[in-house]
Amino acid sequence: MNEHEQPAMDDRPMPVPEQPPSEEPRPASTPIAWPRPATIIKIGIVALVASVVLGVGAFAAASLYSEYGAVKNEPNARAWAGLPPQFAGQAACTSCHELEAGIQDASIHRDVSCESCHGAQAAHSSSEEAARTILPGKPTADICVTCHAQVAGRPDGFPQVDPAWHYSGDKCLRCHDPHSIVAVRPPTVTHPLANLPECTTCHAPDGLKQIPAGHEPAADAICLSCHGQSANQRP
Amino acid sequence: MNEPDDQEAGNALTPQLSRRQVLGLGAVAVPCLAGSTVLFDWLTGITAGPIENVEPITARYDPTAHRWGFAVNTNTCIGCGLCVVACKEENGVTEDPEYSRTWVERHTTTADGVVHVDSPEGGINGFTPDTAPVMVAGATVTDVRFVARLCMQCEDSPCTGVCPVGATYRTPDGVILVDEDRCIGCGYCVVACPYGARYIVPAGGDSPRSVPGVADKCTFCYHRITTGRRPACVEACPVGARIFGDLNDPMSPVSIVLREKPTKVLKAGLGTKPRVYYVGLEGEVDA
Repeated sequence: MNEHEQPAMDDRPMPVPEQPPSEEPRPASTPIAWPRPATIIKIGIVALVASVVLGVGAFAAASLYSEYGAVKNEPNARAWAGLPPQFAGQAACTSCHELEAGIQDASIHRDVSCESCHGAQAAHSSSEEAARTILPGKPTADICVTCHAQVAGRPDGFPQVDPAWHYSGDKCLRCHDPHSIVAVRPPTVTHPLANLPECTTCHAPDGLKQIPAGHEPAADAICLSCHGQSANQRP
Repeated sequence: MNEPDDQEAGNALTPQLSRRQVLGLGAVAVPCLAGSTVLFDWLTGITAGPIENVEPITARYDPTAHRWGFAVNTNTCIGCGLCVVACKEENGVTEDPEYSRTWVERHTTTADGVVHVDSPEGGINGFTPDTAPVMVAGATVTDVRFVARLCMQCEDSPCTGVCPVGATYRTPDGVILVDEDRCIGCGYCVVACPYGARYIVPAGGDSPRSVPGVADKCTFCYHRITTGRRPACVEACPVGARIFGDLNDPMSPVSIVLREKPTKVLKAGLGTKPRVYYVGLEGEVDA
């Protein structure tokens, strides 16, 4: 029985069954005992059954511990990639706001993104309907001094102002166009040296130009003595 | 003639297998293991859940085709902090300045060569005239510059190595992400990161893909770069100090910077091989 079922396992030299003639001229002294076809089929069936058992078993085991099956990061990476963006990008803005984009393109602000100042506008630019209903807030003038206040460490040549001396607060846009940055000078007030208007006509907390911080309270009559000295320091 | 041998083998504690039997077992085992692997992969593939919220372009995105890189030009940075604001807005990072995916430092170098680093509120409100760098009184300042910081997306990343649950991983395009479903919030990666780029989302945080208690970090705005956009901080920078692109593309902005300007990486001696390159830094690269 053993001899019949497992001829390949037998140690005795056996007559080689139906060996192809081409294999005959082998120099080896002991002839190779090929398993019978029935044995190969048995091996195949065992391998197939074991494959299914092991494969399904491993999958079931892995499924217990992970909703994704095997430890694969790709689904998570795809989920990260699927998040909705908040910043729309320059092209989305310029597709509608041609006028402002044109002015800006011709100015020193040409490389500043719209959303640098106006904030993320993906919602506003998502559809024509949204463009009408989701209205972006106007940036406050704080945004100007965020970049242009004089701070140590900003590169040489980068335009910076000292808010104490320059027109400050929320008054930037009274003179500057925010897109072209072209400044329209405040109207020059010509006044005779006699009968001067009060300094605070212009230099008041709500006036065109704030009283510089640390300014000594001064009588109107002596305006020019200080004004003349420091005129060259003023932008 | 075989009978006594077989009995002996059956009775022995260690069954004696002939060479033929071992080879026979191998003939069964090899196709068996190969077949089970194929079956396992196939089952895993057909049962993988549908990926939610994927734009068509994202589904077509091939991460093996890109190698994302980032450059920071400290010569042009003005320390306005708009990048920090943009990052928080784009990624829903908690408003608390203590927790940020990106921040801006001020590096003040004095005559003695010491670099003083400060970053009030992570630079989210910009650097204003009334915030002065912390340093020895009376010291001569030789250089002040602003240095934007973010995850270095290291090629040899310590954070992914220490994660005990495989929650943080590196994508084929070179971005390190955190699987918020796997992360157990142990904080090993926060400690392991030599650049301080990671944090644990605090209670009440609203990061879009993470619950409080899991690790969060810069993703290079993975949802933007996989859809042809630039990271939000790059988009918001008014002076072009943040430069992003594909290192595989010789004409990408970051490739051009690497070609035309001398750059350094932070803490190069650690061998982490960062993918964030700095222009204009001198002595403070190990700061």
